[in-house]
Amino acid sequence: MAAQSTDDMTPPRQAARSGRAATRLPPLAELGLSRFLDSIEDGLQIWSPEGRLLYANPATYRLFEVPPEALLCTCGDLLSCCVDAAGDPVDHGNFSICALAASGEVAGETVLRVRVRGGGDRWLRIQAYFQHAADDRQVAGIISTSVDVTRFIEAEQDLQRQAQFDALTRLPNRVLFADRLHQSLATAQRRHEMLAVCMMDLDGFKPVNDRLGHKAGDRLLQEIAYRLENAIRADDTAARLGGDEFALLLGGFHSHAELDLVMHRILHEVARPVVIEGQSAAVSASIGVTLFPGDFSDPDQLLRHADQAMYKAKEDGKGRYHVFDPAVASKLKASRSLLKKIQEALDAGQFCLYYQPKVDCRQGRVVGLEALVRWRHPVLGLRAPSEFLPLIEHEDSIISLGEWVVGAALEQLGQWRAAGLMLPVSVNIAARQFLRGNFTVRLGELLERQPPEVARLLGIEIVETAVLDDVGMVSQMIQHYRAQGIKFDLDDFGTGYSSLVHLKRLEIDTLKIDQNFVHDMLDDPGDLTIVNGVINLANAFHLGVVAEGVEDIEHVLTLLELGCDVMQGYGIARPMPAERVADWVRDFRPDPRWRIADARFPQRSDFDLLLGKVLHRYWLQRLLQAAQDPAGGTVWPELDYRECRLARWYAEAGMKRFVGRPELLQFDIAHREVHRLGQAIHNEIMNDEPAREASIAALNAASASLVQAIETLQKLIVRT
Amino acid sequence: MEGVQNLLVWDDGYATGVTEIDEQHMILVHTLNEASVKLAGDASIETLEQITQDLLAYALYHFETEEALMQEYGYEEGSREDAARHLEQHRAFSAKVVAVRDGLKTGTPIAPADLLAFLNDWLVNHILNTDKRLGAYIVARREATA
Repeated sequence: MAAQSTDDMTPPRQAARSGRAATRLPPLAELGLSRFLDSIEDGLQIWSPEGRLLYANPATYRLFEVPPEALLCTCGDLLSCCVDAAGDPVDHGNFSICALAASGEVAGETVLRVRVRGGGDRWLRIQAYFQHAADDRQVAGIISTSVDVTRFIEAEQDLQRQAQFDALTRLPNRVLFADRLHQSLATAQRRHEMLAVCMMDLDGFKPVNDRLGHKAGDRLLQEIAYRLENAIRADDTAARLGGDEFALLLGGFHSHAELDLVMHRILHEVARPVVIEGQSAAVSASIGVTLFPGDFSDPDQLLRHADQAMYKAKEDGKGRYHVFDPAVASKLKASRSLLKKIQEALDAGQFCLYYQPKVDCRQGRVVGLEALVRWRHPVLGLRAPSEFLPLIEHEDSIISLGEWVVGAALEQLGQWRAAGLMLPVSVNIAARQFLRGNFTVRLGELLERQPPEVARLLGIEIVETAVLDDVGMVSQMIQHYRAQGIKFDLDDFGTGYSSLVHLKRLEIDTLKIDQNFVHDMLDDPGDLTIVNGVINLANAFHLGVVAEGVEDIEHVLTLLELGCDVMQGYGIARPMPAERVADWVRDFRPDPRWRIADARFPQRSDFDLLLGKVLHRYWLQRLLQAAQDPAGGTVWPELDYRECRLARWYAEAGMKRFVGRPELLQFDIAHREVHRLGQAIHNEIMNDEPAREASIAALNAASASLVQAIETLQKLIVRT
Repeated sequence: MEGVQNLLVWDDGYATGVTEIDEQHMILVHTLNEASVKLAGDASIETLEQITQDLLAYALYHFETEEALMQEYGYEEGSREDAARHLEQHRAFSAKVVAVRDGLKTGTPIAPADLLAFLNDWLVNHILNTDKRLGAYIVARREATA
């Protein structure tokens, strides 16, 4: 093996040719050491202080896989067959001898990997030593040894492999997968590539295990592992995390369509039946995928997300894959954190009650208060229940909130009583609270803390739709508490689908008309009809009726006309903090205009005529809208006088009732005029002329005359 | 997803530069897309209720984040008019959603196209304008103190 012997001290031919100066090392030769060095198994090299190789024993050539005839001058020559961990050529600068020569400092030992000709690796441990000159100051040379440590390294690698690979399937295990995930993420980030992190679980593995035994189960897992490896690219990773759980790390695709292809290939491969010991077994895979970029770049989070997506795939029917949607997840997170916040707000006392007076406008007196919850949000300020209650309607926190409301209202009632204010207060109770948990018990406890005269002032408002969830149970509860003097209101009445049987069965005291109907009743004939219907229903069942959402005097007067006296809304009083209530009640004076209703229509006037006014207003509003914006898509109201509902009323009920009265004729003339002018405006627009201001003004004037004519008829009813 | 048009894809054009805001805006984009998909198939009252409930949650959760940031970085002192307009838009959004829900309750449901138009409009006018101004303000403050 040894080609270059130290006995032959003449420089090699190649050196002369290449012009490099090979220095002799006479002292060694004189000592006759070279013969010893020739025979040792470990490599030994001697270097000049500058890092030039002066001598290398034969073992060096063998160990470093350098051909015997090769000329070795520098470190680089020696390292030509060495590779680093990734299999790339070694960087000479990092090699200890070179570093040593460059820095003059002692380098630690280095382990190098040498590619052996004919296959395999050899691992060498290199150590270098200084040789100082006699004066101990200057470096005279460097001696290095290279020892074959392949056996140790391989044993160590085996151990490592056991720690990183699954013994059954030989796939990477969880540890190695995590490691690869880190690396792949870094690479994907750097190269702007897509990466799919997948969690896979076998559907129907346990039955196979149970039916064919654990051994067969293991064989199945091995087969699946084998198929997985074949279905992915060499750069991808398939790992077994334990049990029938696998993970995949896939790259090299550029679109969702390409990913879809890969996923289907994997699903198909896994689902192919496996024959084990003559028995066929089949499983399928549920795969959860999360994609980077898109999802976050934290590996643990990616794995969690893939896991979540896998459960979704299972939920969706197994044997499929589901891609995690980060937006869905953040939405979930947001709503969870919101629920937590509401609970915290409750604990922190951020909720408070505002009180809105209910006023009997006919009698001009305050008859009660509704307690309304507000959220004193530390950032967003005072928030109304309509903004946050829908979010907890179906959560348990609405029960705690409801209990707090009842408690706080009762306490307030007690305080007002002490101050001499005795007004009923109603609180809103959610369906969930009413029908679940121990509301009866809790309410009982809260009521017991108060003297009976205070407890009797408490009213409970249940929304109509909530009652309908379980009429029987609600009915029982109402009975129970009515015995203790508690009043019950059916809130938002008109929004549910109560049957008359319900109204008969429930021992409620009052119907509350939903504010939205009241709000729109002067413009929307449908809403006016509903308001009227609820009032009639309340009368028929001898129930009280309260209108919510009263905003202006027209609302008040119309409701009085319809026979609803008790009202609530901004037009009467806004909800106010408890401390302002006593003053407000003391200073309350009925609006003198409320008496107009009495003066105009001391009794209930004809609903048809009231509706007639609203019908006309609605007609006018639609016509003007269509005229102002012909391209806006507004449908023109019926222009033909004969098709109008008011004309029908005139021909039927009107004729019967006011036959021969000149006021009826007046009404009909005004009505025809309104339609004539409306038709004229329509014609102008159809001829591509903009509606003239004069035409609009004429229509408005005619409309006023018509309203007046209707009101004249209303008064006529009252008088007759 | 085929058949539903105009799905929005989040891109840097929407970004305000403030991570916590942008992450939450992604939720709105998602909600909007989800609404488009759902309403294309089934515009029932239940669907509209679910969507508007999501929007209420979005409003509470997201506006708190933004308004807390405004307070933290002194937006009102630093840019009074922008801050006032911003808060006003937040309140108007909530009010609109509550109004839509009221409409569902009383049998006058909003037309799906109108709801989507409202959300699109919000996305364009609020996120691309108002929120970006806030974003620029916060980024500037953060850089100044970095």
